[in-house]
Amino acid sequence: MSLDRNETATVERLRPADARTCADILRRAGEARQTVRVRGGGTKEYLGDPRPTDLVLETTSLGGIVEHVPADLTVTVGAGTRFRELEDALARAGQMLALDPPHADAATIGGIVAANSSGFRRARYGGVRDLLIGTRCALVDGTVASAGGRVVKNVAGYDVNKLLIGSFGTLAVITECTFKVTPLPVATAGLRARFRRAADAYAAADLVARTPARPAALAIDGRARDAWELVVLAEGEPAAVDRAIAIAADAASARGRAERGDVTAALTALRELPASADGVLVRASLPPAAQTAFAEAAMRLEGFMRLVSDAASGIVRVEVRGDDDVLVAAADSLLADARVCGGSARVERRPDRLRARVEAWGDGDVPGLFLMRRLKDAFDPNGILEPGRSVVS
Amino acid sequence: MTGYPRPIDAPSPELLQRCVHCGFCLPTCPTYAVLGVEMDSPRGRIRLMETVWSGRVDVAGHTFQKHIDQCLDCRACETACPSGVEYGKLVEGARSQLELARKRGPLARLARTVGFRVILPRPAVLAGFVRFSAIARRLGAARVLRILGFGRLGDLLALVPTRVSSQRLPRSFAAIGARRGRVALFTGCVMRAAFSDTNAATARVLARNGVEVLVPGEQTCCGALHAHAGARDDSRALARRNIEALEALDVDAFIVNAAGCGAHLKEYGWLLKDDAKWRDRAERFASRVRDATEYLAAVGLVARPGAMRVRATYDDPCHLLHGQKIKDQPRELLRTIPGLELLPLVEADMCCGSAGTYNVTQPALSKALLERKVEHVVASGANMLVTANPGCQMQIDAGLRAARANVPVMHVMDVLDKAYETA
Amino acid sequence: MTATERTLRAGIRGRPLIDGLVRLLGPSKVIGEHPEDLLIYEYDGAVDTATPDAVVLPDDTADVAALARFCHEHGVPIVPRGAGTGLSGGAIPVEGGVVVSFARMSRILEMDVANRRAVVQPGLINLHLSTAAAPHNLHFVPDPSSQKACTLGGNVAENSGGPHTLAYGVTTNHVTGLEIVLSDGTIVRLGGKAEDGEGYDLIGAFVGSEGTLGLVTEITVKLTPLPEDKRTILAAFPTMDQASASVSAIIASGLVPAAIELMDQLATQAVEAAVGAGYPLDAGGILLCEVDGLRDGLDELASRIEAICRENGATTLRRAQTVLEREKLWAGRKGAFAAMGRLAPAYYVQDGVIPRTRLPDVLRTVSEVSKRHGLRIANVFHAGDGNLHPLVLFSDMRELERVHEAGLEILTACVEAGGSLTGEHGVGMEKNCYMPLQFRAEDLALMRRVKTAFDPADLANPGKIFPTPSRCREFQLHATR
Repeated sequence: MSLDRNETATVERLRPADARTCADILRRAGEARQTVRVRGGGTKEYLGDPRPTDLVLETTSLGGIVEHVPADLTVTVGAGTRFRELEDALARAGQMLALDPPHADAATIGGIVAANSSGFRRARYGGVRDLLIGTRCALVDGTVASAGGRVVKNVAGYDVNKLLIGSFGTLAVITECTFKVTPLPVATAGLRARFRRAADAYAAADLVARTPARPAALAIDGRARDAWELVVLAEGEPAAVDRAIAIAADAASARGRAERGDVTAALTALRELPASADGVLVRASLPPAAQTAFAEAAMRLEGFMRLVSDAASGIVRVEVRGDDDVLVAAADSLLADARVCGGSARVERRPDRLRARVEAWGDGDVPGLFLMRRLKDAFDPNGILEPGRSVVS
Repeated sequence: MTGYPRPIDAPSPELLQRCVHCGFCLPTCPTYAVLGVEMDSPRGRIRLMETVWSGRVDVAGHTFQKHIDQCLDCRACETACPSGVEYGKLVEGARSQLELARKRGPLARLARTVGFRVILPRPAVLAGFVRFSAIARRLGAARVLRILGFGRLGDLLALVPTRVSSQRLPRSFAAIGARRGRVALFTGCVMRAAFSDTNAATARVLARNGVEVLVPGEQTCCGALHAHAGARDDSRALARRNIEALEALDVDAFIVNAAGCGAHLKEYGWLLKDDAKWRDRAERFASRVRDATEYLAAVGLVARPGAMRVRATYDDPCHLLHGQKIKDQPRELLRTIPGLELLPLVEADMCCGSAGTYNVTQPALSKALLERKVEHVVASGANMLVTANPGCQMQIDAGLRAARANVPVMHVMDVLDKAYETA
Repeated sequence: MTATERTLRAGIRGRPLIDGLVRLLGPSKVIGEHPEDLLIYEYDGAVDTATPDAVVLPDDTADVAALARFCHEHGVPIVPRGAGTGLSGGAIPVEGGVVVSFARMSRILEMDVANRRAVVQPGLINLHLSTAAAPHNLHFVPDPSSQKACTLGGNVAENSGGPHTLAYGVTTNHVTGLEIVLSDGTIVRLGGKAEDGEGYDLIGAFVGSEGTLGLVTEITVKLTPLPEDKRTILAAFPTMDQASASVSAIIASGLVPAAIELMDQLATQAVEAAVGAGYPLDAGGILLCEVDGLRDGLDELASRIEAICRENGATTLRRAQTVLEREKLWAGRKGAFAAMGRLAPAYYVQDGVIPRTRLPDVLRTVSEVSKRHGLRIANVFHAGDGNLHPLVLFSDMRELERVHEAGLEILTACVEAGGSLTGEHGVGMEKNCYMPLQFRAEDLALMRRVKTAFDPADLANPGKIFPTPSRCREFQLHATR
């Protein structure tokens, strides 16, 4: 799918090399009332209800590591830097940015932050909001502003970083980010356990989550009503890792069959679900204990293909395939279920032909939406940034 | 009027400035817990005392009077305070100023004089008063009083214990077995008038553990109630009498079994600090005062108590825990009794609302705190509540009876004595 | 009391305000009938003071909303107050108005063990939450030193930390839901028990906003499993340099302890007088380090930390053997600020943050500042995350100007080292004039946009966070000189 205004090459693509230039572009666009799409690695174009724009601002030249002081456990990096590139650089210093976002090869740091894109490791290390400590951004009024800082603890003023995380570029263009980093774990171990019932898989995950084992991933993969797998990753000091896996094995063995082994590849595959854009993918964020009920409802849906859950954090993604009516019905039902469970959901992927029938946020009834709109107005009064990308715009 | 009427007794700026208003005392303050307003917190009251010095608050005004009066003087805030603020001294200082500034009606003044100068210092009068009240209560006087519109008096009568004892103790109790020490028992006023059984029990427990106990007859009320109520001069007069009567005795310690008295006796030095003639004598006297549990735990039990099948819980008297920092000793002593199961009590460190004359002067707040205490005692699952102060004993006993909870309230010394009886 | 230049904003004050509030909420929820009572709400845990025009004690969200509507209608500022333990003047009504005390909204509304969440009222005391969660093997992570007294609402307002937030995050990392009342009286529910929501992370913006975006009336927090075991190590060093070098070495070695705290000799003396925690009095610097989690491997971790300390010159190394010993070590640390009352009648505590590698040189700057101004400065701080707490001791309010100057020099050094003005105490009215040290005009304008969206009338705790022309004029002159 192309989001360019039309198929002919009239869309202006700009690739600023610094924050200042970026802000100038935004100011000119604002004056000309031109809409702007912000593009990093282009890995998450399927998210939201984006509409074609006049300009595409590409952040890929805002790249590179600005500052990395290993002993401070912080790194400052340009927003256009690819995640993989940063990961490699940190690894050379024995450290890591403890995120495992989807599309890690091509995704940029700015895109990961803007989309609040996280993987299973948030179970132990937290998500983007727990690791991002500073941002620099370009605003539509042509200014460049900073939020947060480069120290790990900081309550000076508002935490504007948090607003930028998950804002999909609708408030400002992120040009630089500072993160807390972590030493690479000394030891890693994994466990996979198979269950016949969703409830058993979740019960085992819950048992682990209730201990101080702090697993690095607690993923659940449901492929059919009676085929559920719990994937556990433990990281840290060797003795603690052994024990964490033993705890998980104990929790699983009462209800299913557990097997130790490397789970890295399995987790990467789960994270990238689904490889094809065929069908509907709904992402829900739920109170942890509500996942079982949500999963049991999901697996009964016509067209249910697969459910992948970050059981520690309550993030559940459900893939459904089928004809249009099946997809529409499933999306509606999952969005409603998430709300009934005390959470929220969005449709992450659906075929282009269904964009009109399946809205990304259903009826868009998000608590506090009016306040979000006021914020949007305060940052981008003419609404030129990323129209349709977020539930707010 | 600005400032304090009699600065020498007023809460001194040196003591006040120890407070760094961190707020750590707030959750430990019973009145703050019930009322939730800063004026009824230790930090707020300290602020009030400061603002009087700076002339912004009037001692005789509504604010100062109400909130200083509402303080229980339980001193829980002292335990919580990392800065070492001596709040008890501050609030008693503030009360002394309040008394000077306060306008009381002639009737109230008379009642106060009779109570403080006639009844409390005279054991026989007090004993008579207590016996009369006990009989009146049994005859249903409370109901009559309530019907007649004297509800508060009726409530007060409910506090009088079901069993009172006021018999005179022998002049001495000989040590049983090898003599390990010699002490004088401070018999107190309320203790002597209503709880003389507990005094006797204390003496017997000490004697059983090789301690000779003298019971000097010349002593009088310690003056704690007077000091708490701001009558510092009355309290000083009693202190001098007690020092005179006891200081020459050749004993290792003056033993007290009423926490309120103990805390006050230990502060005679402070009470008479501005009296050059008495200051040093008072200091020496105070240094010899020991709570019965404190003394017993220090010398150790030589006689093993007999078994008691009881699920007990212990409520800390404020002036033992906060006033004298005695927490573990009573519990250790109770644990020496075979078969006695000591259960934890939630908020054992919070005042029951008795607080000297507080249940008389602040009945509503006192009742709120008592109900809170009773709730926790019942929830503890204990079938006996143990404490170490007559005021707490009467108050909690009344509360438990009102709640129809079958939980007797006993003094730790009575419990030990009873255990020894079965040994 | 500081001579604070105040711009009084209240549209109505005095009798009409009190009468209006009493009509609205009833007399039992309003303080101000006796003006002397209001003097008792003019302070918090810090040094600045200002007297409120009224104090209101709401029972529920409806009271708060009614009050906010009333204040909005009459142009009266509204200032939330928890336990008043704050260290930046956050609860001080610097522009007058109504102080809202949450002392009577202090209940745990729901202990949701299945979801590992608790729903609480803002007046709940931090420690009471962890105590209530303990039977379920859970706890609330942020553990500020004032946790026995401070409230969850205050924690949300200040984004409070504490020693154990080094490994497990500060308040913002543990809040999933809020109910807030905007300054116009609108009640807004944000988030819930799930970790993410759709749209902007308004909870993230609200936590740490110091009451300037609205009042929080209900909080949903994450509860975390209690560690199975802990090892607490006390290491004493002849000098602070050696102690801080050990901190850097521990971090550099790849270890992530649950807490790393440092204390200098002056602080140690005060703490020993107050708590008798058993800290060696002759040490130049004392390091308190804790590792926790699963029992397995903890001893080995503790030994590695001890070895690092030894290499850096530790003269005493002690590992707490019992729970009681550990509690005693922590009691010393947690009572450290207030224990300063033993050394001097007043203190001014700073809260600057620096990159961890800059610890030794910034500490040297602190000691130079101390010498230059002839003021004693004690240091007690969260070394693991570079969060300094220099305590400037003084005895007379007339010294306050000199004290502020010393504090400012220290903060300037922190910011110049790439750090922050405040790590957990907040900006409040204490450091709002210093904000331009750390933030450029564009950065402050960014924050201003957030303020405008939430509180266009500027009635929510005005005079905080942002520099105000009236109070900050003097500082700006100072800065340009």
